[in-house]
Amino acid sequence: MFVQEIVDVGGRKVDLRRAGQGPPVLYLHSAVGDFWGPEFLEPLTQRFEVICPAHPGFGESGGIEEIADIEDMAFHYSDLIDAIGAEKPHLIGLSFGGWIAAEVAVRWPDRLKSLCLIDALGLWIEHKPIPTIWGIEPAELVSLLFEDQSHPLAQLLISIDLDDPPPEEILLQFISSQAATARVGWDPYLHDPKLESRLHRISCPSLVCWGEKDQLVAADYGRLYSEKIGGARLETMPGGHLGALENPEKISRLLSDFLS
Amino acid sequence: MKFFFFHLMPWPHVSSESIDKHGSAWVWYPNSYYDPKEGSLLYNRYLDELQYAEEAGFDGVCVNEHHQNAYGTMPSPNLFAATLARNTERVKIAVIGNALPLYNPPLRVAEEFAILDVISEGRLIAGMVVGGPPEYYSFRINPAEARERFSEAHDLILRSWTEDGPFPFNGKYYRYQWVNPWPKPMQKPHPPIWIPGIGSLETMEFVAKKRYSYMGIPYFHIRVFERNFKAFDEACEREGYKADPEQKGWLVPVYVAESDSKAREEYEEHLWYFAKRLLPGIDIYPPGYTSPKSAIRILQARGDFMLDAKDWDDIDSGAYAIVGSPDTVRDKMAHYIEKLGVGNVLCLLQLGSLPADLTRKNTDMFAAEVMPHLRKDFPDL
Repeated sequence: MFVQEIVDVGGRKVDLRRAGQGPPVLYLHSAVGDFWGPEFLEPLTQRFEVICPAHPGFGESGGIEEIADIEDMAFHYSDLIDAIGAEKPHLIGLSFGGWIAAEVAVRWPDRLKSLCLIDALGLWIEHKPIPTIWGIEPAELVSLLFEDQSHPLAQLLISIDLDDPPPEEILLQFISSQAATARVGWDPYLHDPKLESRLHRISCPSLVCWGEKDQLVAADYGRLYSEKIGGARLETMPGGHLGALENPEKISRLLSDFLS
Repeated sequence: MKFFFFHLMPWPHVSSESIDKHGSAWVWYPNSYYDPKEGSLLYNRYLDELQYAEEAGFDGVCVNEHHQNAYGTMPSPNLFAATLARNTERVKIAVIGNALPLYNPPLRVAEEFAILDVISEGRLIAGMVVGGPPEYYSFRINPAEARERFSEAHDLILRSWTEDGPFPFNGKYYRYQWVNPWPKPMQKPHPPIWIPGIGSLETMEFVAKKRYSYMGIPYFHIRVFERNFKAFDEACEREGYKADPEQKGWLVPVYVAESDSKAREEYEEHLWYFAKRLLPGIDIYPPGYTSPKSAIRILQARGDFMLDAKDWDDIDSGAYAIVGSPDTVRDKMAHYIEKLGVGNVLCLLQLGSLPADLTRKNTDMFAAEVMPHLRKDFPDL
């Protein structure tokens, strides 16, 4: 049962949710805003304290005006780890959150107990460019993100039709989170050209998990992450880019094994 | 009362199949459809039309900036303004505008505008814009930085025109050890500055504070113009003065012919060409381009945009374009000029696929049978 609280991180308001007790696990969500404590994390709450903050500009988190790029985002999370007193957390990131997690890990490799990247953005492979997520119809976006387009989350995204706008509070959330993602990932597009050459700095145990049918960030990216992070394990799971949200069982099991 | 001849330099050969296939005339509409031989004819024809506006008696000519699209093929308006500066004698040359965040370093704008002002002997109107939403897809500038970059570039350009160099400038986006552009503009303290706006309150407040001129962006229902100019008047009042009509510009497509029915008959297909084949894609707002609250306001105004006009009644009743006999056009324009309190009317007399002969006829009829009457009707505007 995740419980919401508001914490202060260096003057920035952070909307976060916690559940369970034990060593800290910090989860960095994807750009669809899964900071509510997604299902695949629930089994972990029996042995860990799972902490899910909303990124600046998402949910009730403020401070987006201080974030200009991915490095600012990495420093924000370094500050957050201090602010909530989570000493040496296990860090898990999905998609956009995976990119942030990798950026934290290369800067402060000693601060993490372990690292798990799930369908992470952040790298660039010239012959496998990441397709655009902006300026396209909701249905097209959903086909990039989900294998199963009847998934409730996929259906929710499709329902945000700007020609027939949903209620203002939903629309405001959607527009704010898109704007926050674009602030960091507009250019260079959803990656950091310096990240790849820094990945060797990651020294904690690392797991890389990839959706078999990821249409946004191809499986090549998972292989590249696992090759460049010394000793990282690579696992695949059913589903698309957001396979972790589509099919929670496999990723839950992988995480339980990895963290024990 | 001043009349300007505004040109968009549209591509007139977008087929309905191609627009259905690509969904947009902007950013992604393939440039394999571009034909340089036809482009050569068009550029020369369009420049002739702008130059002819001086002969016909207009007060000024206007060019603007758009990238990677079929709607308006003027990615660099300063190039067109440069040829107009050489080939005209009297008219104001209004560049509305340079999209400041797309120029890096923005000192290029200070330099090029100064060149235009010097060559034209002080006839430049310097327009400055944030840049249309699609340009942020085309040029990859982060839309979240659009407003801040605009404001910083504006400050830099104005200082470079009004202060003697060299001086240092240390901004968030632009940093120089030595700001010292040669040449400087002829008009002192600087050329008039026009800023186009879509209705954001922040833009109006900025224009009101600086006492610049505010141009209402077209293709909206007339009630959107009314709302926006009212808000601009109020912004000026908050600054402690009454807005001068000179500070307001209404940009509108106009077509005049011998009778109302003839006007519609000659014009309608070209207007729909514009609305259905060139406008699609202009409204592709990149994330972060405006504040989330403004984004919602813009979404809510969608029904009042020409893209949504269904039939001629919508066009006519919303005054998306003023079309008819000289009497009809005169009456309608007089009505709206008075209502909006504008001292500048920016006429789009060529629109979409309107061919050269009809453009010439429209220009002549407007200049001979509408413009003089409106000048007489509004001697003080």
